[in-house]
Amino acid sequence: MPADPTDPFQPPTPEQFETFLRDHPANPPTAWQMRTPWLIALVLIVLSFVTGGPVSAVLPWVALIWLIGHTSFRSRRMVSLQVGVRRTQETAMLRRYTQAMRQGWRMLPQVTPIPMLHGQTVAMISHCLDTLGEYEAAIVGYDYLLAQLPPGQPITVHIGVSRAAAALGAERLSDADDGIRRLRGPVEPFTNTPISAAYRLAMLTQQVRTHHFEEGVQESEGLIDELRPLGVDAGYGHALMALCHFHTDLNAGDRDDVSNPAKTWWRQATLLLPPDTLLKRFPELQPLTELS
Amino acid sequence: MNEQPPINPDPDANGPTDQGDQTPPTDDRAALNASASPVTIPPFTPDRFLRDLGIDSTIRWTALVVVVVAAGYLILSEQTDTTLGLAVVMLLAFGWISINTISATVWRTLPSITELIGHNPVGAEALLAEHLKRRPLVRWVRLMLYHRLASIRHRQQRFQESAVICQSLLGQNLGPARRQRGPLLLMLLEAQLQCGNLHGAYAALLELHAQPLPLVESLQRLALQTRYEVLAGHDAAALAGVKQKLMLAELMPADHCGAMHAMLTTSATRAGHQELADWLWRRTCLLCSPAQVKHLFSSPFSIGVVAPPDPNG
Repeated sequence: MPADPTDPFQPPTPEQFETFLRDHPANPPTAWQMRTPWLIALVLIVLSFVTGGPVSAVLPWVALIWLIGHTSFRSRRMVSLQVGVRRTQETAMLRRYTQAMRQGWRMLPQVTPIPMLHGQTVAMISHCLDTLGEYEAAIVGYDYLLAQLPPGQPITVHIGVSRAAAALGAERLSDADDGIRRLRGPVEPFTNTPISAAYRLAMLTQQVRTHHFEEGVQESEGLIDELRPLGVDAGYGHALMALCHFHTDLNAGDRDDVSNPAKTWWRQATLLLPPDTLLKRFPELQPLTELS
Repeated sequence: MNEQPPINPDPDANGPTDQGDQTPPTDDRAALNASASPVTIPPFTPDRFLRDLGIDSTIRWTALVVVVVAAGYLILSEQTDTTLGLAVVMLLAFGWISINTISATVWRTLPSITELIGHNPVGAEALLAEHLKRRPLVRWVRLMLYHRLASIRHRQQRFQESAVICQSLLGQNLGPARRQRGPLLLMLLEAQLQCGNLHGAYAALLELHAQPLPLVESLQRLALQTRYEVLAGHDAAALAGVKQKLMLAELMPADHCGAMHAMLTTSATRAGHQELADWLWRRTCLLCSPAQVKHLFSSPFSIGVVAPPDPNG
């Protein structure tokens, strides 16, 4: 989505996001809060036995109406919040990240009583920040989620991979390296899924950011299959592999003759994603634009 | 990567296939296992479905009438002892709540049935069979149980039965379950396409277009509509707004995105847009694995994907 120059939107800083999450944590109702409507109904029924006359006859019905009304209100509220979060996620899916960020930011305080929706909203905001290049702020969100989620679950592993990739984006190389090493085992059961593909892309990004281009080339066998679950986003991986070949050729002294593999990988990358999109996320791909 | 594996499926498999053939695809092991599994719920018949709804309705209305009449009598009768009257009212209310508890219990298990359909259709069917026997159920809870049955049959590739269940459900007032109307229509559309019933598919598509859908379901509708257009030979319609369609296809999971590209490749080839067909085909080969591409071409449920001629030979 091209940025609108008139849009006053400023993504939150990591500190702002951290404070926001601290002010609006997931806050599910306690067991007593859940029981309160039933206790009120019980009190009304007991009162109906204690009192006499018409009040006594009316109170049980009041209790029943109260319970039905309360349950109905709660379920309507729940559905309304679910629809709100789903719409926000759809906006993010349509790559309108700024708009999705705004909606998510407004939704978060409302969904604090429902931990599932709260987690989904934080994940969506973090993903938007990540995609907008606000890696440090995204890491705040990912860390918050990782502290809440049970280890080993697919969503936990996926967020762990996203966090490692964001750390690479933020040039926190040793932090990213720790994350990638730690995730090697947990990622294994998710072969041929977007999780393993995102992990492979993170590894390739690490090789590029640490200038291990030859290592990247050596490990390129099967890369297309490994990246495939990412869909068109596999284009980022193809572009990074083209860069690995490009620098390997330069290091080998073939300054004037860029090898066919570099051109092939770049052609594949631009077949999946436009060069502008590739450059926006990985500015180091700039020299490859001459290969087009 | 110097050499991309040549993806040139068997040309014999590229032609239009028998749309009525319902042999399951060989590489979908989960579905095969499911279809080979013992069936615990007898084949669906609309008559039994309507009888189930009728029995539920009769029991619930009878119970409600008893509660209301008894309560009215106790309130209006001046001779009744107040405490006894209250106790009877409470008993009736308790009975009414107990009847509804059956539905609430079944309703709470619906998500676990949905989850089971994904990885253990046999277990899901057994659980569903148990719940379908319970009476009385609130109308929309029973409808949701049948919706899950349609999902199981769809997964087992028993598309004709799945289509009949969907049609029976769509003929009912879904009430609080009306949000399932979109998924039901999508399931019906796919089942009709799998059965080669283009008229039925068209009718489902028409209804889907009159239905507001969330994004994910809109994407599914787009893929199924494209599949319908390719099957029906409406290549111009399939290619209309191709740029926007591809933008939306890119939001789909990789294999669905690849299938969309393959379908559009077919239409572009047949419509003589060779350059577009080549471009789409190259993207298809990146988005789908050779096995997936082969499956697209050789599946009995093939949409008759036609690959453009290989530019290298």
